Amino acid sequence: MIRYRANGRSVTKAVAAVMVFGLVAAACGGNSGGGNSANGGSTVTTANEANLKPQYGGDATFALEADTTGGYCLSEAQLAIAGIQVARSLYDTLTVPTANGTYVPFLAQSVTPNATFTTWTINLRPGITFSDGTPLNAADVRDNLNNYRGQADPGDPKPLVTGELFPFVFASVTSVKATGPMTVTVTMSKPWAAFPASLYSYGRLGIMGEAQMHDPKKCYINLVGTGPFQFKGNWVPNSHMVVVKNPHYWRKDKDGNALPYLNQITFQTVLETSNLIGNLQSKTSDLADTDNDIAIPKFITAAKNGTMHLLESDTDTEIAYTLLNEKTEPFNHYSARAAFAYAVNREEYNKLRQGGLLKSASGPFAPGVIGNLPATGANGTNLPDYDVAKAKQYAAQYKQETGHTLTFQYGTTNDADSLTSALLIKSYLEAAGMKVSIRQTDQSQYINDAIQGTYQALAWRNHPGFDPDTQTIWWTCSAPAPNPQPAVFPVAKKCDNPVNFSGFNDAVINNDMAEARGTTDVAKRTQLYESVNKEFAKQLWELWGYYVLWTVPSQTNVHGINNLALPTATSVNAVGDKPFLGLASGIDPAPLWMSK
Amino acid sequence: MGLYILRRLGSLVVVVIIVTLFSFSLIKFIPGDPVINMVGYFDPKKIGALRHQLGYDRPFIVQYVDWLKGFLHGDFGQIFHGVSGGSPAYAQIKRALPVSLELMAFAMVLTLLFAIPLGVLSAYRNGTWLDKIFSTTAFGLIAIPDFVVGIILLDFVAVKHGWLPANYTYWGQNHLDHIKSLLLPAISLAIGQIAGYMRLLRSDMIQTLQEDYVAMARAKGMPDRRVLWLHALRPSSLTLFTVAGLNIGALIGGTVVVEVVFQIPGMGTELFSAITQRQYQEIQSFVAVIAIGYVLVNLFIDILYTFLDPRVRSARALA
Amino acid sequence: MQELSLSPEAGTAPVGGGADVAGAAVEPVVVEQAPSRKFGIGAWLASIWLVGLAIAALIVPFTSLTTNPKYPNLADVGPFKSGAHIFGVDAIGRDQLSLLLWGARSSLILGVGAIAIGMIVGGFLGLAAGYIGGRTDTLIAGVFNVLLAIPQLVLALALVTALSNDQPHISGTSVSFTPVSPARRLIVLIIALGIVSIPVLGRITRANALTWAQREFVLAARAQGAKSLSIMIREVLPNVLPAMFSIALLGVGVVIVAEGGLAVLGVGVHDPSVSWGVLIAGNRSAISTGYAYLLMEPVVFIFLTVLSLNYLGDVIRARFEFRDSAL
Repeated sequence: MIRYRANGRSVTKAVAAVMVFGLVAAACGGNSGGGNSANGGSTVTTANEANLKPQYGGDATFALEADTTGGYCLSEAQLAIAGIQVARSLYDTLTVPTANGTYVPFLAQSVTPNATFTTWTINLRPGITFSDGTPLNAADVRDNLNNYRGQADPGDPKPLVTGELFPFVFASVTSVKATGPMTVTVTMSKPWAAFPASLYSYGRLGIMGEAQMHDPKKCYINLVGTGPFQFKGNWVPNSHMVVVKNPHYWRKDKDGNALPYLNQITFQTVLETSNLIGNLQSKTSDLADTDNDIAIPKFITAAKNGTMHLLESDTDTEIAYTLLNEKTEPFNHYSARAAFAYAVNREEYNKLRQGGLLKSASGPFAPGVIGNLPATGANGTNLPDYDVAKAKQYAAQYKQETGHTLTFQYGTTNDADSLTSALLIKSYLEAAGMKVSIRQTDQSQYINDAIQGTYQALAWRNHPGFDPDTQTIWWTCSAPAPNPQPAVFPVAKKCDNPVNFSGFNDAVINNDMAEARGTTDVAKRTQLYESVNKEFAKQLWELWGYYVLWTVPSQTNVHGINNLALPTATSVNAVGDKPFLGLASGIDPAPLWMSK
Repeated sequence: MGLYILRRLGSLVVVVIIVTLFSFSLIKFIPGDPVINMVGYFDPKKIGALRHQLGYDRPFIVQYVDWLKGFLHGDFGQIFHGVSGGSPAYAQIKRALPVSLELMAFAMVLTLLFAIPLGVLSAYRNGTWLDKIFSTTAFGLIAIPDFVVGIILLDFVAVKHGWLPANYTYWGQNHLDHIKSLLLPAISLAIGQIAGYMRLLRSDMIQTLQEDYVAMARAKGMPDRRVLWLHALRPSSLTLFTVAGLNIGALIGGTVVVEVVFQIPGMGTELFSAITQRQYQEIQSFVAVIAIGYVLVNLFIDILYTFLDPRVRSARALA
Repeated sequence: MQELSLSPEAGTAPVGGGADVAGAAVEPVVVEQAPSRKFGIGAWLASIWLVGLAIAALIVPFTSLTTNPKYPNLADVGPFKSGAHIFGVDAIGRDQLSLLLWGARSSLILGVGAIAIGMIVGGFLGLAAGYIGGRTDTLIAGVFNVLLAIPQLVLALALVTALSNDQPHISGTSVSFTPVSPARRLIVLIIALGIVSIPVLGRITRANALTWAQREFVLAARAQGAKSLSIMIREVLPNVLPAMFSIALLGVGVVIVAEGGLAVLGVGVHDPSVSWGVLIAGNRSAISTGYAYLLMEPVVFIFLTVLSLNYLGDVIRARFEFRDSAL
């Protein structure tokens, strides 16, 4: 979903952090401290926890990079990772991803398709109650799904709280019925094999209680969920939000002991880099979710010294990239896109602006996602990489095609760090003969620009991994695509899907994404998503930059970070699959505990 | 006197109306759509409908009058949360204003705590090396911007050494942490002011010390310390407190950068983020509150002064 | 934003009669003449620094010093690794000395420009208010009050975003992009900060004009039937100028600092311009990342400049013995 990292009312730095090509880094030419293994994945710098016995009690202070002042009316909320982290403490989703990338039922007991993947039956786990005491039943789930998709079957309650994005996600869903007290049947117009992934939607598709959905005006703050924690009204926007233990939480640890362990979590909004580092060093915060390139090297050092713990992961993460606008000059020209792609020295940029922490992306699929390919080699994407001569050549070609020099605006948010990053990009581009002006806007304007198409190139980030099927809404169009793709994208053929901000319309991507949606055959899907990946590299619709690195730094007395196994269909105890390793949707708050 | 206050209150109303009208029109000029910003709509029809529902498609002056009516009835407008959520801006102001006031008070206490003894001392030791060191230091301190002090303190004290927290803590969360979290921003605001007040007090005291009655007291054999603190400081402190009062008036909303640097959820930070998010009604009410605060503080000081210093009253009578 | 009016010294509202909100009428305090404020070595040093800076700022466009990160040389990033960069190189390979001098250019133009507006508009209004008095005085005092009561942040932010943004123009289905010119942003900033400085300079002028308006020679000129405007300009203005000038010097410093505050909020000067404020804002986390010099260098430049301006302002004040510390 749109990764407005800093949602709403946030001040400079977090504003900055939004979707930035180079993220937010600042002056740190430091050595590459990234602890990731070569092929991506998770690195844990913590003591061996296997023998530790969890202790109950305690209040953890959890630093987040932004506050979601839009609130938690989940069906219409715009949640970035900070918001997802809070939502996961209050709500549960019907499905969850596992360590090996599959989706298993969570709040649901089973999620089963028919043979053609056009009808899905969701059976709910019995005996679960919302924080207001009402039991979870099929009608609740039906009403949730209807609010998410913005439609209801005749006779069912009309959705009152629908956002803009999920109706696109669930566009092919034609009917949601409560077919039994604990059974919901979802019917769709086209086969959708990866439907369970969208029931998770990066942790955003939490199931709300009826009381929350009934009052649109208060939906953002009257938070009723089934999650491990409950909201009691203690929320000061831009400062902190307190959630307290749900004494009746349904999940148990592997020995059958009640969860969660903590008494409460205080989510603390920490916008600025300095404050984040300071808070963890002064132990004001017990743990944090962060991808801050300036702070992470500090945490790596602290973790090596043993004064802090650090969990790192860039599996299934989102991509930092340059969002190009193909609906207008100059990036409707392949030559302009290629000139940009060849001009930027990603490796050097990474060293200068990101502390050498990030790995250059080979395509839109992060390591761990099917469809991920190596950058080079016979089966690589062979994405253009730094080559000034080629960049100049394409810039000259653009001039030949249009009669004028390749000139455009490069957009970035209006904080100083982003500006510095943008200046470096600009210098690469100008060295290759382009004329670039930097457009700095505040965050509101920035997002408006993308939505309305009033931009040429923007620093951006999106497309977290999980299942590539979830990217369908961002890239595919229903109007016919030009085939074959000419050197200049015919703007008249632009995408009819408004969520495809770039506006490209590509036959290969349309077909492959649609075809992959209809099958569970892993080999087939892999082949199709690899084909999408290669098509992006061929057409350069977007300029992939880096895989974002997410980390969870914590004090040494904080335990249980992302280590609780999932429940199974028959047991609410943590005896099932290992949890998902990626951090792009935060961590499971239920198993967190603090030693005294 | 009553008439005078009445007249001043009248001018207050005029000032507030002009200020809010002015800011209302300025805000409307800022590009960017509050509706799109709120909901991220892709559909122009939905945007239009919501804009209509919120009344943003009405003529400018109608919107202003509407806001003003609400404001006079204690309705400070709505803050929008996502598509359907809304909360009163009043609650936000009620939460942010005390934070700013407390920070200002904290800074003021720090300022006076240092400025008064230093100012008195350097006036008393006028011309000595001690005075020169104080004066020169003060002169230098004035030249350092408060946000620079803030940035350096934050980085050095909180981040590098972790001596003090880098994040704001509410009183209700933890009393000690709350005090600690205000210390650095208060120091940042105070440093320049200490220097300013010290210089002010010094030059004022030097004058006072030359007055006859002070010389008399000294001649009578009263100890210097007593003369200094009892006789000389009292008239000078009037000057000091007046300036301090005026400063408070203007500091409301003027501590933005320091608040932003330290992430203090006060008026400055809130106003800044309201502007960033185009929360028109919230910005508008914040501006009005700040303007009223400024004008009221000035009025209060003026009246106080009139009582304390009869010369002012007679000057007023003449005017 | 640094409060433009509120250093107790620069902002003390001067004496006056009736309707002045802030300026209660009190006997002015005559500032003692500190011997150290003579045009001594300190004043010479301050002048040399300011003049040197001004010259550097003037000629920097004609030198080879550039703020482009054109050839980011990884080996040079870091403090003082290469003799070619005596102030070091910033995080993206820009020569710090060039940045500081180009920054001086923007910061000085901004400071002087904004205060010039304040001097001209505020000075004229203050002069008229102080000399003519009566209703004119009441009205102008009201204008000053309104200007002071508007939060400066709102004013500056709104003006900058409204008047100097590079908003693309949409006409039908086509979108055109015209980049904002940095000169335009600078002008808008000058206007915004100029407006803020109007009441400050206006009040000082008014207070001084008020005292001069009652002097014998002014009364004499009036008795001889000279026109008001001519008296104001010929008799009153020359006597008020030193006070205005002294406050203006302080004001230049305050404006330079205020731009720094705006830069922290993201609305300082626009690329490719740089200012000291932008450099400070851009290197906020420099201390914790071990590049403290990137932050400290512009801080020292601002410090020395403001210090010099304040010092010279003080010297002028001491020389002319006018009444400014009124409250």
